[in-house]
This record gives sequence, C-alpha cells and structure tokens, in this order.
Amino acid sequence: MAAITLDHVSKTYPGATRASVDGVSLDLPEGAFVVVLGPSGCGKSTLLRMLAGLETITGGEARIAGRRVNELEPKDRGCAMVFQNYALYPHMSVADNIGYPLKVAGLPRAERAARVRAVAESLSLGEHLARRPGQLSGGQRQRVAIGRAMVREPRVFLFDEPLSNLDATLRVQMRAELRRLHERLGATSLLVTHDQVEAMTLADILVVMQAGRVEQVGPPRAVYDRPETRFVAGFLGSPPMNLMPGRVAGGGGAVALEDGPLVPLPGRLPAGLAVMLGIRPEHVTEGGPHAALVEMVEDLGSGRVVHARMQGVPVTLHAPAEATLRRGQPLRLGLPAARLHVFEAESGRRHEPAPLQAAEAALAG
Amino acid sequence: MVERRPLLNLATHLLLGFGLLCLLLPIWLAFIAATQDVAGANAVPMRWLPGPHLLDNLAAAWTRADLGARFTTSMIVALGVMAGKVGLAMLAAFAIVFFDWRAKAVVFWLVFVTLMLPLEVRIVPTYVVAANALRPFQAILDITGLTGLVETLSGVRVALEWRMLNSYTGLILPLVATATGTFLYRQFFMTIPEELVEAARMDGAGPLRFLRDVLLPLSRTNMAALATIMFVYAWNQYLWPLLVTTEPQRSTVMVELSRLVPRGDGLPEWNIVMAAALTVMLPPLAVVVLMQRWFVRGLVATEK
Repeated sequence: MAAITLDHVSKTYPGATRASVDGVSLDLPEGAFVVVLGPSGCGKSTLLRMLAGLETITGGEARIAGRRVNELEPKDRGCAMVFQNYALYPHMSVADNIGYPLKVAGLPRAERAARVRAVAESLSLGEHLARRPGQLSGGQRQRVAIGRAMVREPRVFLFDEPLSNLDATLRVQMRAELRRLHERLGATSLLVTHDQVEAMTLADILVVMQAGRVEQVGPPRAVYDRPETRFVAGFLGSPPMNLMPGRVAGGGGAVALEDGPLVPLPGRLPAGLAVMLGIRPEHVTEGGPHAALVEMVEDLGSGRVVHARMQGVPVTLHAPAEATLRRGQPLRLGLPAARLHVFEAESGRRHEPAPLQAAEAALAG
Repeated sequence: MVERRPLLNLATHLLLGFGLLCLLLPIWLAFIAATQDVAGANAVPMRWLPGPHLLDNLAAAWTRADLGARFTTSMIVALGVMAGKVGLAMLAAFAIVFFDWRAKAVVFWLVFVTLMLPLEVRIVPTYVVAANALRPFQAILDITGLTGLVETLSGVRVALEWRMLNSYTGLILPLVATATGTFLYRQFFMTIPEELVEAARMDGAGPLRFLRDVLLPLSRTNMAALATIMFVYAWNQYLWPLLVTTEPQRSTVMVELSRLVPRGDGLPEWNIVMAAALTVMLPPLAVVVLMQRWFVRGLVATEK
C-alpha cells in the first residue's frame, strides 16, 4: 500500500490569483526516500506543510497509509517534521527537547527517559543530553531536531530543507547520516530541497516541481538521463545541460541550430518542427565535426569546464584537468547523436525521435 | 567601534554626574529633614547634615499614620495589580499574536486606543463604573425596554448592582485594565519564530500547553520587567485610591501619607512627613533592587 497518496492536491492562498500548489497527484510507496526538488517559490514547501497539517489543503485529498488526513490535526497524522532552522525550544535541555512530544503525549517519566536515551545514543548525542541548544554546534542541533522527530516513531518523516543551514563539509556528512538513518528506521521520508546534489544523492524517488506543478517523478538516475521536460533538463545537472534552439531539417533526420551548424539526430522527427536541442556538458566530445572557439575555462580541480562558441551557439563541455585549453583557441566538438535530447520548443515536452530503421521500414512499407 | 575622544567623554560624564545630583539631592534633603526635630526641619537656612532624631521621627510617623495597616493594604493592592497585569497582559497578547480570528484587528486597535486614555483622563466614568460595575448592562436593559418587559411578566424589577467602592476589587481592577503590558508581551511574542510555534503543533502541544511550556519560560525576563513596573506604578497610585476609598481603614499608604502633610495653621512637622515618606519608599526600592538583573534584561535585550 502506498504510504502517502496525494490526489489532485491544491493550495490557493486567500486573495491569490494563482494556485501555489496546482493539482499535485503522487503515489509514494512505503519506506521510500522521496525528495521534492524545485526552485524557490515552486510550492514544494507548501506541499510538505500541507501534508504535515500546518497549511490547510484547499483542493484535492491527501492520504497517509490509506487514511484521509485533510481534516486531521498535525499530531494525529503520524508525521514528524524537521525544520530548516531546527526550531528547538531554546529554554529546554537536549533531553527535554527530544522528549517533549512524549511528555505532551503523557508518557510516564521513566519510559520517556529510556526512549530519549536510546534515540540520543543512536544520534551520538549521549553526552550532550543536559546541554541547551544554544551550546551546541549546527550539526548537533540538527541531530537534536531529528531526534525529536524520531522519538515518536512516526510513519512519515518530513524534512523541510534540513541541510541548508549547515556549512558545506557538515552538509555532506549529515546527508550521508540522513540516508543511513532512513535505511535503519525504514519509515517513509519526504525531503524538500532546492539543492540538486542533495536530491540526487538522497532520493529513491525524485519529484521535480515548478510553478506549483509536478514536472517529473522517477528514480534520480532516470530523471537525469531522460528528462521529460525542458525545465527538468535545464534544472538538473551542474553545469546545466546545453539547450540550443533550432528547427528540424534535413528531411527530419537532423536539427539546424539557430545561427549554428546542422546536428544529426539518432532518429526522425517531423521536418520543420521548432525544437530545443539538449546535450549534457559531459557528453560533448572534443574532436568532432563542429568547429568552435574557446571563450572561457573554469578550473574545478577535478576537471575543467570549457565555455565555447560553435558559430553563434554557446556550448559548455567538460574537459580533463590536464587539458591545455586557452581563451581564443579553436577546437572541434562532437555532439554524439545518442546523447541528444530533443524538446518541443513550444510545449517544452520531450520528443523521442522515431528510430531510423523503424521509420525507414514504415516509409518502405 | 572604538572611540577615543577624551573631551567628549569628560563632557558626557559631567552631564551624567549633574543628572545624578538632581536625582539624589531631593532624597538627601528628605533624609536630612527626617533626622531633625520640628525646629530643625523648618530652620532657615536649610540644614545639610543629619541630626539625631531619625528613630523618634520614624516611630512617630509609623504610629500616627497607622503605617502597619496601610502597608498591608498597599501591599495587597500592588501585588494584586502586578499579578493581574502580568497574567492578563500575557493572555491578551497571546490571543492577539498567535490566533487568527475575525475581530482580531478591531480588538487590537481598541486595546491600542486605551493607551491614549490613561486612568486620569477617564476618571469620572471609571468611578461611575466602580460604583456599580453592572450599570452599563442595566442601561442596555432599560433602553431596550427589557426591564419593563420582565417587570410586567414576572413582577420582579431587574436592578443589577455590583459595588466596588471601598473594596480591594475596586482598588485593583481599574489599574489592571490598561494596555501597556499587552504591548510589551506582543513585541516579545512577535520575535518568537513561526517555526517554533509549528514545531510545538507537530509535537502535539495545544495552545495552552504551548503557552505554558514554551512562551511562559521564554518570557520570564519580560514578566519580571512588567511585574517591577506594575508594582511601582500601583504602589505610587494616589488619585484613584483617594477617590475609591472613603473609609480610612481601607486607604492606601500614599493617601495616608498625604494626610500627614501639614495644612493651614497646623504644626509644620515636616520631619515626621519625611520620615514617613522614606519608609513608604522602601518596598518599591526593594522590588527594583531585587528584580534589577531580570528587569534590565527583559527591557533591553532579547535573550538568545
């Protein structure tokens, strides 16, 4: 059974003309780590907060473990939430913070203490139990916040950009820790972020949102390899995918780039169609049919990012760290047909070129 | 920022010193007068050094103004106003800041407007209400004709009455019903991050639980500040207790103190008056000294 089901869930704030979340439907399986990714203001936090019960759902239905939760109080939904700024009670000790949900639930003191201790040990907070949040480091505070969520043994964990307040090193550590924790607890986790690395590394299921709508759902690898829309293609990946406007030409087997060369496709498309041709920087090859000029080189340490111009078309590509490329230097580029993505210019939808053989056969037949 | 301006420093300290002198001089004069006999207190030129009669004067003031009983009354009033205010203001601010309800804006502005109408301005209507707190309701019943209706139907004449004159209720309630504390709390409550409120909701704490477990401990310094201010304010009240208490055994220490002041052709016993004044100053002074640490923190800094 699905752990979380969203059925055309919408949120329109009073007085707003546009819905912040616009008819989102999702089916999230039990025990999955789901990451909702999107630019700020895309409605991803609102979606999470609606599920938590902190915002009212103005349209559609949300179900947790098959039960409609639209009208339930947050505490009755079986969710626990970890907030971006931790939201720890500043006047309570670590132990009291973690134990607060149990205290409210009216558990006897002894049982409370035992469970708090167990949770704290598992998060290596054991020796900090008597401290106040103000005396802890950012990572420790984050762990206390997670502990407070864990102690209730919820069915669903909700994370609202939990790592965005940590510095880079700590973020990588906590990311791994979150993943381990998820595996150990086996509960369903829903994490909201705008950081694509976080999304790619943590997710079993990646949900990409934009302007209140879901753009694509799937395993992160699949979303990365086969973006369904132009938005997803441009949003996921760093440096982002090259997106070049053009028109299908050459009898449907190639794309004539605007102010650029003719690029052959792996299949056929309706001739004359206005498209966006996409290729990831790591798939652009050095050495190939297209002449280009180096405009700028960024050194990343592990490699270089080369910004080149192919006639009028800007192209970025990955180059090995040893590459001796300089500004103004000419080079030749290859755009392998198998690595190309084609999006319809108007709708932004992905277009899969019909395989050559099949198309040829159809023509012959 | 580091500043090195010795001249400016000197000037500032001179100004501060002058201010301190202006503040302390009257108290010193009162103390001097309290240590003299009648002749010494009225001597021209004024005496600047203490005389030997302090204890005699204190004892005389204590018995003559019945200060023991008056202290009890004043203490009950001041503590009542203090506790009432701290509690009421907290609940009012809680409702205004953390709940969304239809009349919220209206109520907020009504409370705000009362800031511009201190007790002294509305003293007559307040007195009328204190004389019979239910009078406004009676008026509504009379105007709508309900009184007449009930009388013809049941033969009972509706006459609502709740007299608060000469009672602690009458002394305390009108002083509690002001907006100052509400705003102090409101400002503090608005600094509480939204996430903290939401975390408490997720943890299953209802509004009252949140108030008790989170807001109350976090606003301890604010409470201390407000309590100090309200204690001193209530202790120093003169006009309202004078109006509302007609029986001498109900009057407060301030009212009694003013009765000691010589009038007309009475003996000008300023030494006794000043000794009494010094005694009366002690409780608020003690409260301020004891609460100072909390008090300053509550007014100045937001504790991190």
